[in-house]
Amino acid sequence: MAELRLSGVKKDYGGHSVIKGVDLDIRHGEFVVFVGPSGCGKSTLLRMIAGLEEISGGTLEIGGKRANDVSPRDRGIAMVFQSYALYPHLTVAENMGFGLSLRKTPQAEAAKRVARTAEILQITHLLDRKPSQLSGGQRQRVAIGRAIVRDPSVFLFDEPLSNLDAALRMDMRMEIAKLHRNLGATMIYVTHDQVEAMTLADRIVVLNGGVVQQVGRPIDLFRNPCNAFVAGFIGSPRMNFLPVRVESVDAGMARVAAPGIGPVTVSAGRIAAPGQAILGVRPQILTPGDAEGRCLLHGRVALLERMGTETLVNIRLTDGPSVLAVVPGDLELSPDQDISFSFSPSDARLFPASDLPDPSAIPH
Amino acid sequence: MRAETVLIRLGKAVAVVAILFWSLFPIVFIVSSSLKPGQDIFAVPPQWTFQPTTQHYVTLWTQWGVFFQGLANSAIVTVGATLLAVIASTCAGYVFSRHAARWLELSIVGLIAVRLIPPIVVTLPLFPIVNRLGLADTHLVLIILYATFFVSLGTVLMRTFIDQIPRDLDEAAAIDGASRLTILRRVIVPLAAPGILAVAVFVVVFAWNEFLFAFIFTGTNAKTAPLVISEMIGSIDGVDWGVLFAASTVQLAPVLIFVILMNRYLVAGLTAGATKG
Amino acid sequence: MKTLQTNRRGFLAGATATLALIAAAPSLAAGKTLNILSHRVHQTSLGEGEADLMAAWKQSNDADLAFTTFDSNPLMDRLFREASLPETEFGLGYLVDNRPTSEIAKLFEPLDPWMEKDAIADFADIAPGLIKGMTIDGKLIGIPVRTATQALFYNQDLLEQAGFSAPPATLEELVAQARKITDDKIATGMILASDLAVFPVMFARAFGGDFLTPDFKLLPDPAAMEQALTVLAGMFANGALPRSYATTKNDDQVTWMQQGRAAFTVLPFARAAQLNDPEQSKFSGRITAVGFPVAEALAGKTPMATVVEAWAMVIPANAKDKDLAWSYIKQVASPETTLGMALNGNGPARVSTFSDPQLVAKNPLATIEAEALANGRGAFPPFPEAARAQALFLEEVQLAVLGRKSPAEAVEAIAARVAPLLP
Repeated sequence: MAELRLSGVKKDYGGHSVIKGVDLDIRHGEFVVFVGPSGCGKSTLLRMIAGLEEISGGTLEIGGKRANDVSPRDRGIAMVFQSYALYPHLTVAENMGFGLSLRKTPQAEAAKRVARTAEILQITHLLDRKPSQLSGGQRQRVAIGRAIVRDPSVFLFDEPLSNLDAALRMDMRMEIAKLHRNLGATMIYVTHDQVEAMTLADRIVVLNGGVVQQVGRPIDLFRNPCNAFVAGFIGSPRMNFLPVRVESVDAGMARVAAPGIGPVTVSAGRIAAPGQAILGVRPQILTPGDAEGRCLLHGRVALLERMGTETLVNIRLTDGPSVLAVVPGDLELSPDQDISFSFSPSDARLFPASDLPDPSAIPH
Repeated sequence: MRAETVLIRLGKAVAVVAILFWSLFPIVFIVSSSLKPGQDIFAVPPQWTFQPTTQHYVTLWTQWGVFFQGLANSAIVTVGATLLAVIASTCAGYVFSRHAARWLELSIVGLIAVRLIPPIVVTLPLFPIVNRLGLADTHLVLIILYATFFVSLGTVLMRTFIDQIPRDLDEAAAIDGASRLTILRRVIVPLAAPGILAVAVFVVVFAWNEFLFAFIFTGTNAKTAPLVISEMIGSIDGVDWGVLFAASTVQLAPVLIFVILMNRYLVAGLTAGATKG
Repeated sequence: MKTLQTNRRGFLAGATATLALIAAAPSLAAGKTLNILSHRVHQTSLGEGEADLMAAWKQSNDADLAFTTFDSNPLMDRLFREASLPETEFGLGYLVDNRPTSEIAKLFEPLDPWMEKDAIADFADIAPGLIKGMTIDGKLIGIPVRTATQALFYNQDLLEQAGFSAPPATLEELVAQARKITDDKIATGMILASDLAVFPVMFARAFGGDFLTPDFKLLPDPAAMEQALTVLAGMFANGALPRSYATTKNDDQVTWMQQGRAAFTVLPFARAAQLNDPEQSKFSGRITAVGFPVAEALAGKTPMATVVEAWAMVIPANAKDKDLAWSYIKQVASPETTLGMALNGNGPARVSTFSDPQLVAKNPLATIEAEALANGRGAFPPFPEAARAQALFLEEVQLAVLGRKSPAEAVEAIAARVAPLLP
């Protein structure tokens, strides 16, 4: 069995703390995605699980056994690298069979497993080539093949698709999802791309600054982000954050207002007292026009992106910041045109101002 | 074509010819003199056409058997030193490339600093030690000394080469189940082969021609060919120039052939780091 | 990448071959072995194989000889270095007579006790001057074994072309003949290396002077040295010495004589063989030698004190098996072995050997070599600063010969600069 348990796992580099105590349980057969901006520590955490980085504090258990000091080769894991890390001097077959030969698998058995894996990944015709003769997508398949062939109980993926173009990335994403279904193995996947995280994960772990922000099913994270960082990171395009003033809090509901907004009553979330706060409004919940019980925003069209199936409207609010709205279908608007959008207060989320000391720091 | 460019081309051609003459003349002189009848070697004016003779090679074979023993000793010492230096440099280069620590950085400065000391300063104090250890006049002492002398340069070179091998490959191999030694043997060594060959060329050329260490530390059993040649030059009963040039030719040939064969790796070694990536 | 792999395979194959080679390397010969530090000449003059002069000795002593040979200067360095160790593998060394200063002599076994215990046959026959050169601070440290006596070599053909039927009998005749051969454009009169003290010393002695006497008198007769430099400068000025005099080396003397580019030179008698070697020389059989002549004023009165260099066998004081070494010395210094070596081209240290009919038949110069040796001595005695003294001396000599300084000024400078270096 290959469940993983991280308890208070820390990583320091010469006094500089990179992972600040992570607690996480990963069940057997689960697909977990680590996501976060670059430098958040997600790759470091993955490499600590792989045994490529020492664990400075806390414990890592694999299959119920403490694995802090177990060497990478004895952890029963396989890893797919961002750079693919194929051995340039070996053929595809030799690359895939490398681990088997090191583990003294009989040659006939190894050849059989390589052939079977190649078939699954549809790279049988490439087996005699060297990595330098392969395209990016083919290299990716070989790298995955090299991991699969050893039949490990845990797969680690370190941003495996980031070097591929968009179309290929989508294909491979689907293929990895299929692979997970067929193999039933535990998979841990690192990415900075929240779309990959949303589509692949059983559970997402959002990391920032070496600290786990939230762990949960993708849809839960989308619907109920625990803070402005998670709210801003999950979902595309990014959630709009509007600085507001909380006028009163009562029975879990807060009455907020800002120039050009409200006053409006929304769920108070973590807000307990009047003061400055941030109102999170996803672009998808903004619709043109007004209706009963909705909160109205008024401004001018600053930028218009017509995609055909949907339209992205960037609105400069009167006396306020810009917001982005995504409207299904095509919308014929002209720049600088006066426009009103509205949203249902129950769809908006309120966060403490301290969640976003510097709103511009959240990446898209 | 403008007159200026013609002049420049002419200048370049002259420069190339001058460099060729500068580097080839001694070789041509030695080889041709070894084939000239003894009377003609220093004839004035020089004789450009002559009846080639193998007489000097015959004399070398019959009267200077010790020279061929010297060649065998040179071969043993050269191959031994090259193997040792290459293995040590590769291992050390791997460590320097993959690990960063202040004391490691200091030690590489130390390695280079050792190269700045004139060899003679090291050799004379070593003489009594080598005698005490019973290593005097053995192949082993030269193998160790030559290898030691080249491990510094070799390590720096190998580090540069190994730096160009992505670390991901080490890590992939580690996860695939490789021990450190297996990673070195099956991933690093095959990929750093051009560097290894470049280092080998340096050591071979050095060990094959080295005089000072061989002179101080050997006598009979491990006496190398350059020592025998030096005896020919200083012979108190007169120099037989023909035989001397024949011996020089025999001494020169293997290393010349080796360097020509390995030329592209040598160039790779010299430009390592300049063409990173 | 394909090529990479092949190379690796080749590399491993080479490595395996090497290990095999090392494994197959000959192991050291066992048993009693006398390790000897020498010049190759000392080894070859003892003969090899069937002509091995030491065959009987080896058998009766159940011993083998292992020669480690070097060129002269490296040999001395190595010998002194080995003798300074707490213990050395080398039981015997060959020492040249211009090296043993008091300090160096202390590194070697005094041999007088060995003589008393087990004397060398007919010891009195060994030239007394050579024995004296090896007696330092009253102790005999080496047994002379090889001499190199300087002779005046000349090319009979070139002399005949210039109308001379006999070699010069006086220094003045030598100068005149060299001049005529030069003037007649037959060849350069004489070739001498400019980096050896031997030649100016010989010229000075021809006028009854010297550079430094065995009892360390510097320039005992400055006028004689001035005359010598005057003669040499004159020869250079009129072309009887080559224009390239300043860069002329000992080996050039041999090649110039072999090629007929010079008519006279000064070299050890033993070089006659090489000068007349048909494979190297264009004047094979036509180059012969006489003793170096004295000046007319001294002719018939004072014999020429030619320069002699001698080698002696020494036992390092730290050697292990001195009995075996002494046994070797006794055998090599014996009259029979001395003759055998002389027939192999070695300049003998025994006076009687020169008159042996076998040697006279083989070496027509033996008799005159014996005469020259009888009055010869080293170029100058050994002392710690000898090398620097020689360099200063040669510097002044060159300035005088090339005409940059008058001979008188040069002589004065030699006196002033060398005196502080004397012991």
